[in-house]
Amino acid sequence: MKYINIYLFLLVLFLYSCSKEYLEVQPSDQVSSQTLFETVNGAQSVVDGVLRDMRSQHSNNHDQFGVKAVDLAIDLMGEDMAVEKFHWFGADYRYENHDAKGYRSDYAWTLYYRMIYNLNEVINLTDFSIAQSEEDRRHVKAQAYVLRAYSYFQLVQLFQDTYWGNEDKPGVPVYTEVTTTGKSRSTVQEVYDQIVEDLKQAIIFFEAGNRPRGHISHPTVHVAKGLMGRVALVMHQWDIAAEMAAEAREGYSVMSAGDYTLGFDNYKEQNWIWGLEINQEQSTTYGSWFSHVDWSIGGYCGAGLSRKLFSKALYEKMDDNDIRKALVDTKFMKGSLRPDKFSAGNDKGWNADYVMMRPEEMLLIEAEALVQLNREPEAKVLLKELRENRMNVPVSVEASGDQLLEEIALERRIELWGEGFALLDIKRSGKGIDRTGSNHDPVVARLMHLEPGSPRFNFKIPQKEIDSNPFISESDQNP
Amino acid sequence: MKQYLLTFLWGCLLLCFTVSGQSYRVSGIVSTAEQGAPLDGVSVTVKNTDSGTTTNNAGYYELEVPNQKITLVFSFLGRKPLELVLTKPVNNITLEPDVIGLNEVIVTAYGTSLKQEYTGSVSTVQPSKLERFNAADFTKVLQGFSSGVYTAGRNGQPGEGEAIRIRGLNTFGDANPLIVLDGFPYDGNLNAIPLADIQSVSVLKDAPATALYGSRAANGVIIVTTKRGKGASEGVRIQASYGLVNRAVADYSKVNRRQYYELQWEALRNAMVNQGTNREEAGIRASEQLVSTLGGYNAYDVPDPELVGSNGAFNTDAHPLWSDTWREELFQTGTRREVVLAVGGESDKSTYYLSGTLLDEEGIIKASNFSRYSVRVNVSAKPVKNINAGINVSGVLSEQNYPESDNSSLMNPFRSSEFIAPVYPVYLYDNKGVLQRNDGGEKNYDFGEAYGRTRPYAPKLNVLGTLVHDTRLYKNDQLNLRSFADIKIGGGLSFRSSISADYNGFNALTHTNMLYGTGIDINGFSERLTERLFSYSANQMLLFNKNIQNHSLKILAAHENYSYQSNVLSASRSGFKFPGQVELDAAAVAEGSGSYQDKLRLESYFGKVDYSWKRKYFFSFNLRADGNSRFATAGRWGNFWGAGAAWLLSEEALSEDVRWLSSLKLKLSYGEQGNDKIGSFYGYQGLYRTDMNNLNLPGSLADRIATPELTWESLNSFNAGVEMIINERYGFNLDFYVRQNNDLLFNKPLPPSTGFLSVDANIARLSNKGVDFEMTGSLIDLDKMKWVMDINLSHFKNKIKELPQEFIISGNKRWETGRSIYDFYIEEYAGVDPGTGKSQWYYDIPARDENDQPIVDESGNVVYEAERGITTNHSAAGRYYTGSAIPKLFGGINNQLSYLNFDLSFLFTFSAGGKVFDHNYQMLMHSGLPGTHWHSDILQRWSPEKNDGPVPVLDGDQFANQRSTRFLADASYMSLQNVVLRYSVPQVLTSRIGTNEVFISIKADNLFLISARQGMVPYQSFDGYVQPQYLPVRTVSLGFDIQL
Repeated sequence: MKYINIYLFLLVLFLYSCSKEYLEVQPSDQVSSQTLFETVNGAQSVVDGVLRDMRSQHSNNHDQFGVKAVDLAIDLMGEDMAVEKFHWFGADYRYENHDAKGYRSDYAWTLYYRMIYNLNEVINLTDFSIAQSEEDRRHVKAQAYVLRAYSYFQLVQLFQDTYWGNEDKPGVPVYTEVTTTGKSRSTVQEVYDQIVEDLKQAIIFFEAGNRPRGHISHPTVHVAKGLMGRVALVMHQWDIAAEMAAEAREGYSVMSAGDYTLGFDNYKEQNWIWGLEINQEQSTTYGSWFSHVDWSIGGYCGAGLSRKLFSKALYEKMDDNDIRKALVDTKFMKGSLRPDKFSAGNDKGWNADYVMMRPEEMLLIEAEALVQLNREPEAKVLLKELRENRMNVPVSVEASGDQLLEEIALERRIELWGEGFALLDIKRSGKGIDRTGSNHDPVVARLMHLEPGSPRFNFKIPQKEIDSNPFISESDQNP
Repeated sequence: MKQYLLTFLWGCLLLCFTVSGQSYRVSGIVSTAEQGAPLDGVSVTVKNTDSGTTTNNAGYYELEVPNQKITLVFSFLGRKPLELVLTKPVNNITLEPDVIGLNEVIVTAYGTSLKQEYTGSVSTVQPSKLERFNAADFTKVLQGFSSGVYTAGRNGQPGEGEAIRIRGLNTFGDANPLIVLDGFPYDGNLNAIPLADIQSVSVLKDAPATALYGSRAANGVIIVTTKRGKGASEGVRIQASYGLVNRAVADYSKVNRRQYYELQWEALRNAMVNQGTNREEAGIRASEQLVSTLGGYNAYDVPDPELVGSNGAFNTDAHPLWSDTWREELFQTGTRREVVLAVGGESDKSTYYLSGTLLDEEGIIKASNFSRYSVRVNVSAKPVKNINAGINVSGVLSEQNYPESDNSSLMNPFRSSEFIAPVYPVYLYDNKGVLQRNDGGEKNYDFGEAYGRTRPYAPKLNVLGTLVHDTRLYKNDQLNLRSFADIKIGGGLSFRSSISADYNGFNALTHTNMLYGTGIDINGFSERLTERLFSYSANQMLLFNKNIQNHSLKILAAHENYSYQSNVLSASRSGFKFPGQVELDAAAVAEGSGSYQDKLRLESYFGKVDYSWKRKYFFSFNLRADGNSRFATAGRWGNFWGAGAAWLLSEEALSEDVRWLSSLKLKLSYGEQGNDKIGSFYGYQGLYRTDMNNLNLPGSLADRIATPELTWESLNSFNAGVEMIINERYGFNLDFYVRQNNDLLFNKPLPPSTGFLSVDANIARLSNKGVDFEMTGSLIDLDKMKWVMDINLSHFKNKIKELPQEFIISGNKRWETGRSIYDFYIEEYAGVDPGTGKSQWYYDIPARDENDQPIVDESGNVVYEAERGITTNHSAAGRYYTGSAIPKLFGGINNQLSYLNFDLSFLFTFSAGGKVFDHNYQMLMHSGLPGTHWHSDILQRWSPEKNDGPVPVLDGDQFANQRSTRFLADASYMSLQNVVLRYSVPQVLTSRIGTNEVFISIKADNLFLISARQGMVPYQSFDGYVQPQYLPVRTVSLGFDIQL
C-alpha cells in the first residue's frame, strides 16, 4: 500500500507531455511575408527597406555601399574623375573590376536584383493588403514601379551597349514576379519595354492618387517622369524626353549659384527632386560615397589614401567665370585639382545625404531633346537659364546644331560631375575614352584609351549567375 | 520424454529457489596488487546474476551467496577484473592495474556500460590524459587520443578551443557534434568546463551509441561527465601550475628591409617601362618616386632619391634611422597560472565532490587573455534505501580579452605583423629618425599620417597602439545545474527523473578609442552586447533491469522536453568627451541599438532495449521520436533509431584453449539519426528582416524564402568492428564505417538575378566511409619500468553522392557528384612567360569549326580542344580540380613511460596527405603592392637575365599573384603536441608531511610543428585555407599536484 502514492506520482510524471503549442515558436526580429503584406503600411515598409538597402554597406568592403557605390564606379570609368593612388575603387578606374569574376559587376547585379525581388513582392502582394482606399495601395505600388524601373534601367545600361542600334542584343533577365528559377537574358528592347511600362503605370497611379510625399527618398510623380526623361533620352524618343523632363521639374527651380556651393550633402539646403537622406545611426562612415570623394572629411579621400581629382582636361574647358570652376581648388596641393563640389565637412559630416535627381539634369535632358527635335531656340533658352545661375557674368548661348549638342553634353559633364552619369553618357553618345593630356596618371589608371563601342565598356554577367542559372551559359556572356 | 524434460527443468528451477533459502557468507579484503593498498568501491558480484556488493573504504566486502559452488567476479575501473571460483569463506584478493581497458566502464547515452559488452563505437578519454594539457577546454585533447575525431582551428587565443568533426564531414552546414554535459545537451561555452572537473569524455560515433539523441545526433555526440566523490576523486587534491606562453610557429621567411626597398624600386621601374617610359629614365624616376610610393617612409639617413640608385642598388652609405619591428613589439611571452582545489568523498548514504579552480592565461599578443573562476558541487544522497538523488551545480565566471584576429581586418595583429612592410616603424619617428615621446615620456605610436607621410598599409592605424587603447572584452557568467532522483520500485524496475538548466550570461564591450586610429573622426565608439541564454530540459525515465540465469535484459522508456531561449541586446554610441571612458553613458551620439529573441523547443519520446545471452551475445535497440520547433507543423515529428549486435568470441568454449586471447569481440550496427542545425530557428517560414528602417520610417527587407518542406538532415550509418585484447597487454580496436548523409540542408545557390543568392533546401547526399584504428600496448611491464603506447589512426573518404545541379562552385571549391566537399577547384598556374615574366594560367580553348564558329555538343555544351592553352589574363584562366583539403590519414601516437618515480609522456599528432591554400604566402608574393611585405621566395623573380622559375616579374600587376595552384601546399604535418615529465615524490617523504601522494610535473604543449612551409599552420581550417589568424601557442608549465 505504501507504494501506491509513488506509483501514482510516477504515472502522472510519465504521462506528462507538453501541450501542442509547446513546439510553436516565432521569430522576434523578422516577420513573415503574410504578416507584412496584411496591411498597406507593411507594404510601404518594404519600399522603405529597399530605399535603406540602396544606401547600406554590404559585406565588410568599404566600396560596397549601395547604389552610390555603383554610381561612383560609373564616374570613375569615365574621363572626368582622376584617381591619385591605387586604392578602393582603383580597379574600377582601371576597368579591371567588371568582368565575370570582378566584384563590381557582381555587386551591381546582386544589388539591383535584390531590390527588384522586394519590389516585385510589393507590386504583386499589395493588392491583397488592408488599406483605407485603393489609392493608398496604388501610392505604394507606384513607388515600387519607379524603383523597379530605376533598377532595370541601371542594369541594362551597365550590362549591354546603349539602347539605340542595339535593341535586339541580349539585355538582362526581366522578372516581374518572385521565382527561384532563373531566366534567360531578355533583349534590350524587352527590358526597355518593361521599364517604360513600369514608369507609365507609376505616373498613372501617382496622378490619380495625388498623395503627399512621405519623405525625400520616396519616389513621386516627378521622380517617375524624371526617370522617364532619362530613359527616353537613351531611346532617342526626343519628344517624350522633352515633355517628361519638363514635367519632372515643374515646381523645382534651378539651383542658384550660391546654393550650388553648399556641398551636395544636405537635401534640405538644395532643391533636389530625389535624394537619400542619411542620419548618424544609419550612416556607413568609411564605407560611404563621401568617404571616397569628399576631401573635407577624414575618409579615404580626406585622409589622402584614395583622393579623387577633377580632371584637368575638363577643368580647362570650363569658363573662368563659372562658379563650378571656382569649386575646384588648385592651391591645396601643387598640381592637384581638388573638387569641392561635394563637401560635408562643415555640415552633415558622415551623415551626408545622397543626391539622386535634380531639376538641372532635367533641364539638360529637355534642352538636348529639343535640339534633336529641331527646336533649338527653346533649347538655348534653357541652357542660358542654367548658365545664368552658374556664371558671375552675363551669358549667351551662340552655338547651334551639333555644336549646341556638344555644348549641352559638356554642360552635363560639368554640372553633373560626380553624380553617376559619366560612363553612361559616354556609352549613350557612342564615344570612346581618352584620358591623355589630363591629370590621369598612367601608372594608376592603366587604361588611357578606349575605342568607341569597345566591348570593355560593358559589365560582364557575373560568373555566379552563369554558374547557377540554367538559362544563361558561357555562350550568353558579353564578348 | 518431453514431459520428463519439462518436469526436470521445473525441478531445477524449484531447487534454485529452495536452495536460495540456505546461504553462506563470504568476505575478504580487496587491495592493489602493487602496493597492497585497500581498494574502495570494487564491485563484487555473483557471476551471471545481479546479486552483489561493493567494498568499503577498507577494501572489505561481505556477501551472502546461495551456495559455495559459485564464481565471484571482482571488477574495478582501472584494474583487470578477476573471477574467483569459491572454495572457502574468506578470500583476500589483489587486483592488477589494467592499462589496456579490459574492464573499462564507458559513459553512453542515458547510462553507462562495460566497454566489453557494448555494441556501439565509443572512444573515451580519461582524466590521466586530460590533465596532461595546459588547456582551457577538452577540445585540444581529443585528436591525439580518439580515432575518428578530426579537429581544426587550434586558435591560440586564450580560452579558445578547436572545432571537431566526428567520422568525416557529414554535412555542408553545421557539422559540430552535440555536446552533452552530465546527461543533458549543453548550451554553454566549452571553456567553462575545467579539465580538472572532468571524469571522462566519451566520443559516441555510431548508430547504437548516438541514436538516443535523435534529431541532433548525426554529427556524433560527445558526452562530458564530471567527477563524483568516488574512486580517484576521493580525498583532498591541490594542484597548482605556472607556465609561459609563446608562439608555437616561426615567421614566414621574408626579405629584409634593404631588399624590400630594392624590390619596390624594381616594381616601380618595371611599371613605368610597361607604360612606355624607356628603361633608363624609368630607373631614375623610380629612384625619385620610391619613397613617396611607400607613403614617404625613408627608414635611412640618406635623401629619398638616393636610397636606391637608378641602377636599382641600395645605397651602401645609408644607415637605418629606426629598427623596431612589428614582430617584436606585438608579440609577448604570456604567463599561465592555474590552481585547482578539490575535495571528494563517499559514505554509505552519500557522495560529494567539491571543487574550485582558477585559471589565468595571457596570450602571445598584448591585450589578449583569459581568466576563469569556477566552483562545482556534485552531491548525491540515499536518504532511504530505495531513493538516490543528487545535484550537480557549477558556477563559472570568465573574462576574455579577445583582440580582433580574423583574416580580413587590418586590426588583426597577426595580419599586420605578417604583411606590413619592414619600412614602417611601430613607434613615431620624425623624418630625421628621432623617436617621439608624449608628455609622460611614453613612446608615441606611428599611425601612418605624421610628418607628411601616408602609410599605404593599414592607413591611420597602428595595431599595437590601437590594441592597447581599444577594448574587446567578453565576460561570461555561467551556471549549470543537473539534478536527478532515482527511485527503485522493486522487481528490477526503477524510475529516474532528471532536470537540467544552463544559464549563460554573455556581456561584450567593444571600444574603439578616440585618440588614435579609426575612432578619431567620431571621437571614439563603444558597443555593448549582452546575451542571455537559458535552456532547460527535463526527462522522466523508467528503467527495467533483470538478469535471469543466462539472460540479461535492460529496458529504458522515457519522455523528455527541451527549451532554449536566447535574448540579445546591443547598443552603440560614439562621441566621447575624454579618453579612457568606454561606457555608453559617456558618449554623445546614438549609433544604433537593437534586440531580438530566439527560441527552440524539442519534445521527445525514447527508449532502448539491451539484451544479452550468457555474456556472449549482445543486442541493443534504440528508438527516439523527436518533435522539433525548427520545422513546419506538418513535418515536425521524426523517428530515429539505432540497432547493434556484438559477439564476445572469447567467451565461447572453444576459445578457452587460446590462452593468449584475453578478449575478442565482433560488432555490427546500423541506424538512422538526424541533424537539425539548419542555421535558422524558423527554418520553414518566408521572412523579412525588420531592421531596415529608412530614417524614421519602418523598413523591411526580404531575408529568406519560405521553405515549408524543409526538414532535418538524416544519416544512415553502418559500423562493423573488432575489439581484441591479447595477453592482457595489447589492445586493438578496428572499426569500419559507412555513413550516408541524406537530405542535406544547404544553401542551394540561386541565380543572383532572382534576388536571392541561395535558398535552404534538403537537396544533397554525402557519404563518408572510413576506418578508425586504436591500439594500446603495454610494451614494457616490469616492476620498475613501464612503457605504454597508444596509437590512433583515422582515415575517411568523403564523397558527394547527389547534388541538385551538376555542380556548385563554393569559393575555391567545386561540389560535384563523385568528389569530396573540399576539392579545390582553382586556376592552374602555368609558370611565367619566359619572354615577359608575366604569370600564366591554363585555360580551355573552345573548339571551332571551319567557319570559325564554336562547336557545341548535343546537350548544348561548348566543346574544347584537347590541348589546353596558356594565358596571361587571369580572368580568362580556366578552373580545374587541383587536389583535396582532406588528409589521407591522421591520428596520434602517445607514449607513457615510467621509471621508478618518473613518468614521461609525449604525444605526437600528425596528418598526412591533402592540400591547403596558403593565402598568407599568396599575399606575400605580390607584384609590388606598396606597403606589403614580401616572402623571400620573391628573390627568385623573373628578370630578362633569369627567365625561368615560377615567380613572375615585379611590375605592380595586381593579377600577378591571383589565386592559382602556385599557392597550394601540402597539408601534411607532424606536431609534438604534448610532453609531460612527472616526478612522484617518494612516500617516505610525503608521509612525513602528511600527504598521500605528491607529484611535480613539467607540462609542455605544441613543442614543435613540421609543415610544408616555414610559418604555415596547415590545420587552421577543415577546408584547407590558411590565412592570418591567432597562431597556435606553446605553453610550458611547472606544477605540483598534492593528494591528501
